Amino acid sequence: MRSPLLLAATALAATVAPLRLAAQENALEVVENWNQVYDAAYHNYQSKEGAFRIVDAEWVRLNDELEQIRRTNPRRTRLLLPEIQQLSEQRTVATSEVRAARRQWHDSGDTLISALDGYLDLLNLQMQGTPIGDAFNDLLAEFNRWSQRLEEVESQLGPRLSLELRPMPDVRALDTDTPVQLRNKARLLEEEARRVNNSLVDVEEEIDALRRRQERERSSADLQARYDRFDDIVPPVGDPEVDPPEVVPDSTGTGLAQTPAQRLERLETFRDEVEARRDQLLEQAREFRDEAERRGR
Amino acid sequence: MKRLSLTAIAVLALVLRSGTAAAQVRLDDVSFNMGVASQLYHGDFSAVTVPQIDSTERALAGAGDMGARGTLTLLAQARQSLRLDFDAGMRQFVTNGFQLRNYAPRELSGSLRSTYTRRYRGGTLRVVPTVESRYIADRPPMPLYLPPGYNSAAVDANYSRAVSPGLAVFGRVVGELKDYAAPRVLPALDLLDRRTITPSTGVTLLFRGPSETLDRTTVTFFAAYQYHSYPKQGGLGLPRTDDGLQAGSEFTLDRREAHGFVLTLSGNATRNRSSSRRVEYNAGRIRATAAVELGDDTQLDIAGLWAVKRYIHPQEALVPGEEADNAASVNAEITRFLGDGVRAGIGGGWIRAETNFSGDYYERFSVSFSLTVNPRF
Repeated sequence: MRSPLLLAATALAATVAPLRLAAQENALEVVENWNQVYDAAYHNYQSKEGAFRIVDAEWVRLNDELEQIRRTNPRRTRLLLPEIQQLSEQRTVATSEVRAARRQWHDSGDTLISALDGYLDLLNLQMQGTPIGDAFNDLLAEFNRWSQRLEEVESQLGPRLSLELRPMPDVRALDTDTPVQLRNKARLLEEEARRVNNSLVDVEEEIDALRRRQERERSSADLQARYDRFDDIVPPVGDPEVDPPEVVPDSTGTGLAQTPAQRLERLETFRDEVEARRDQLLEQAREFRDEAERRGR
Repeated sequence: MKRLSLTAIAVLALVLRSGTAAAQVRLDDVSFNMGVASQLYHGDFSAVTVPQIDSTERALAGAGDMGARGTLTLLAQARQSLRLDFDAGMRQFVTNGFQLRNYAPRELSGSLRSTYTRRYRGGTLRVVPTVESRYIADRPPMPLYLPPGYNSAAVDANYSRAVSPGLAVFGRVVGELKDYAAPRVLPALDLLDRRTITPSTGVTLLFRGPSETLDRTTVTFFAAYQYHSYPKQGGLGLPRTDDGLQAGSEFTLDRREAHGFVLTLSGNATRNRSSSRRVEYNAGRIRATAAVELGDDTQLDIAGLWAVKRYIHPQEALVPGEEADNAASVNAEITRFLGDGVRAGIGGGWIRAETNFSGDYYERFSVSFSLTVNPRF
């Protein structure tokens, strides 16, 4: 719930503020606030994880020792058992603390990413209307700074491939645009095309991994079908077997509702969309550059 | 046969009912395969359902087979799906080594299996009706053991429900009719006709593997009651009925993406009691399969089985269809991925089945080569 509210607040700030600068400051405040929350949550998770590892290592060590001396050293066994009991309790507490910390970290990460997306879009809009000069350079530096932060946060949270395209940037050529402004707009579009193109690498990698899995699984299934077709490996021993039912993953409450084939299909569709978006952005940038050249004559 | 036809109609009706989803019909996982194999059999095993006798204890067979399989997805929605798996194949043998004459068995096989899955808020229901038919002409005498042909129909209904993340319980009922359709010259085959009802229940644990992969580990424990009725066996107008209790587990370690292998181990123990004293036994079975990637384009598949049976009362005669007491088999194939959807495989296998009370056995060694094509539609 927090992310949509935050986005709404950012959007509202950007819309109603009398000056764009005010909107930028408001949005920046929100981003900085969530950046701090995220940092605290990330460090808290790392600290809880570290504490768990220490308790866990000791617990494993004592259990190993107990296993070795249980029959040969009753005195030491009597000493070890309460220690293990105490550590087991600590370990249970530490496990739940790590889980809670991880959830907080992921939640704050999602919110920060939403806030950053909104802020970067706002900067993008402002750059379009700013002539080249110190003000434009400041905006570009700010844009690059938070873009890097976005990449850093996404990398810390791990590769959680999202199959949704960012909205197409609202960049239009105005009659009043000078050639320089048009070239700036073209550059923004090309930059967005580059980002879109970079995201293709992850998609292609996942498609390759899934295709490989599907091919291997199909090969094993075809072999089994050939055995089954003529009951080739069924000896006449009677006792018809009961095979356990095929596990339906989402019935175990762990997600995985999609089969690899469905996931592959979604990824291939998404890849086509990303490629189309990249080509569209580059085409638009080319048009802007052509227009800039025409107006410059 | 009438029952089989009715079941086939029911399956078809289930399939055609999805008229509104016609636009979603899709053909997946189609494969065509052709293979040749050389098999060496030896032993002195006897089977009640193989009345022909030949004095040889060693026979050689060459076989060529072809087959096709695939899946029709008839309905694929978020909450329900319906798919139809089909499989058909033919195998022709030439044999050598028999004293009387050299046989030329031909096997035909076909199966249709539809899987209807429906997800409810509390769990998942899966209903799987299957019809299957196998036919064999010129079935040879031992030691070249080829299982007899049959027609069968089965319905498998399974409901599973998550009780916590990664932990599900399931309840399941499987009913099966198997008709060996004995020709007039081979009435002994009718002894194998069977009806089975198996309610079972169990628990499945699922652990996801490394993030961003579909790797996972599953462990299933189950217990089942089996009721078998053999209408053509038994005496004094009382058909043989068996009550079996079975318990077992299956462990699957899928690390295909992280480490390039999948391993499945399963085992079960059965306590079979019967209206006929001579078929009361305890049995156990262990099965293992593994698929290991050897480099980018090669995969090794291995399947092994070990089965053992101990009768409660001294055995005096062979039980039709259950002549062997112990069996073991190992089959392996190395598959080379040649190109887009084309594979070649070289395989080998060994199987041995034997009795306890007479020491009779048969053994088969085989080598095979196959080509498989998975066309894309």
